Amino acid sequence: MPAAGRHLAVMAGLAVLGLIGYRLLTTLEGGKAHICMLVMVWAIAATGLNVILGLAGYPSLVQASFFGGGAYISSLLLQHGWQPAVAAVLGIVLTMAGAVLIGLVFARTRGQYFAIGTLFSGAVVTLVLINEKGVTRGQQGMPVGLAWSTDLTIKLLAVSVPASLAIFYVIARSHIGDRLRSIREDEDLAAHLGVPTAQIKLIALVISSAFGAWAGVLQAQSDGLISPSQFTFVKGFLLFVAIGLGGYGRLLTPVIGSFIVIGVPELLDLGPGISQIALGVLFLVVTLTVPGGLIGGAEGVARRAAGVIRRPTGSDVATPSEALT
Amino acid sequence: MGQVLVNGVFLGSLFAVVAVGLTLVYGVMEVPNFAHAGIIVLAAYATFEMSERGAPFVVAAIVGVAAGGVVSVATELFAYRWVRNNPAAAPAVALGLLLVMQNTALRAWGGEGKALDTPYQGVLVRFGGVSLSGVKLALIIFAAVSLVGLGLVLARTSLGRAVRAVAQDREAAAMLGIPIQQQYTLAFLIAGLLAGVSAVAYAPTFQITPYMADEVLLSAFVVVVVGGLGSVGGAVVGGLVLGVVESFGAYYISAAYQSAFGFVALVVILVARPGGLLGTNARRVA
Repeated sequence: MPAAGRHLAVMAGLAVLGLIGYRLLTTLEGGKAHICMLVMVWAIAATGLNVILGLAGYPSLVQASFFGGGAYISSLLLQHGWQPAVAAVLGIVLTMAGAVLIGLVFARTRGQYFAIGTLFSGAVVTLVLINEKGVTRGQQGMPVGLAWSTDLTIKLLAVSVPASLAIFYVIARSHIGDRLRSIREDEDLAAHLGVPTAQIKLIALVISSAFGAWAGVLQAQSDGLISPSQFTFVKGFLLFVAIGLGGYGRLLTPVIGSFIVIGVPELLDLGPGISQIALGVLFLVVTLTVPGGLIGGAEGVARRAAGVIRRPTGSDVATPSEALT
Repeated sequence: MGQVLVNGVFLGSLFAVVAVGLTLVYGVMEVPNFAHAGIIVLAAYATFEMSERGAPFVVAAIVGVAAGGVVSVATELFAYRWVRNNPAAAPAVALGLLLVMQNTALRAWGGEGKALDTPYQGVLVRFGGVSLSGVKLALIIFAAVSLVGLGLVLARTSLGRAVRAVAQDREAAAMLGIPIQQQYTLAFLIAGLLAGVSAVAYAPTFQITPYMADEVLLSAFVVVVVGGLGSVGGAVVGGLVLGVVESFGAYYISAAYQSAFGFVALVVILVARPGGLLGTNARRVA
């Protein structure tokens, strides 16, 4: 398929996805609607993580804090009488500013140091949310003034998921996307070829924080209550698990991953222990046996099945552009 | 002042034992072992379970330490071994293992804290205006004994030399005929036993919960970065330094933010030296 037609098809597919989301949010009832909303919010936050973890292969464990940053900052501004739109925008901008700070320190570090640094950054954010009781009300959480009608929040959610994925699609095909993938393949080589690796990692972290913060704004507005436990580094792990399960850097990973990580445990309702154990085991099995994640694995199976019919000697190695979809 | 310093030594001993386990595994296998926290938790519950069933503390403690070793070796056998040639997957495996272990503990023993009784918990040692509870003193002694023991093993035995050789250069060690696989398992065994020691020593000062080791693990990772990933001596020195820093921060500034002072230390170090402080063996961190 020619490139333009392919892009158009992807965008149309995303639009359909948004309509399905809207339909689910408006027709499902009670608990199920809430689960659907959670999955959609998480999909937006995970899309951000898919930029830095998926494209660049950098294990950012601070994503849940960006999520929390958007939720807390926008809610606090609303509480102080700011306009909803301004509160939301400032929630995102200030969270991105925080991401710049974290990035300035840790983007220069490599691999495991980056994982440790971002993990600890997230833990400190949680510590602040719990301890600054005068502002955040601490562990018990704070009620959020609802700025928008339920209908508008639902529409925003339904538009935001496909819009986020579309932005990811564009980023993945841009100059920055190429540079991020070059870092994932071989950071030393990328640096030698003139890719400013630290700067690119910083940009990726800030982009990921914008998605996380917008997800946080929507989470606060749909739930009406936020607490530090929603944004701990355990949630950061779960976002990581969502990306790994779906397949690093693939377009639909955030949706599939969030559904498995958040939706399935809530729907099955086996109790927190059992579902998290099952999730951990599934994640381990996928990590050890299917490096492309569930989407990559399914694609491989499909390609092999097609290859058997069309060209028996065909290779099943994905080309870079295929690996992205 | 003296009291704060002694508390710092207590914290530092704990960090050192946990950090040495992390750095050993990192040294031979380049895995940031987040699952170490899960091993500490399971070892603590094993000790608790044994003493609940009426076993004397010594027996319970030995079972706890052994449990740490067994679980740690199991993580190597069933998970880490399979991503040995793909270091990028290591953090994911570590997180998956942590998720499984913490939730197994949550499922089996519940979320509320359990107290571990010890024969020395009523003891209070005083010297020169400084007091130290029996459990804290015991932790310092446990830490010192196990780390000196480990130091001797690494320095004096052929087993220890083999582990160090693998940590310095995996390919060269393999060429010289050192069985690499065996060193991986050994590193995980030692790390697991140290996790067990820290669990038995640390649990009585606090309650046992599935998340008891999270903050300690974070501080221990700072120690590992301070000491240089893969450096055992650096981990011991770094542990004590960080313990004292956190203790002074908690006392003079805010106790609620104790572990945040470790973060400040991490930021300062990584801004100055993105590759850690004592990258003496020049291991490339990637």
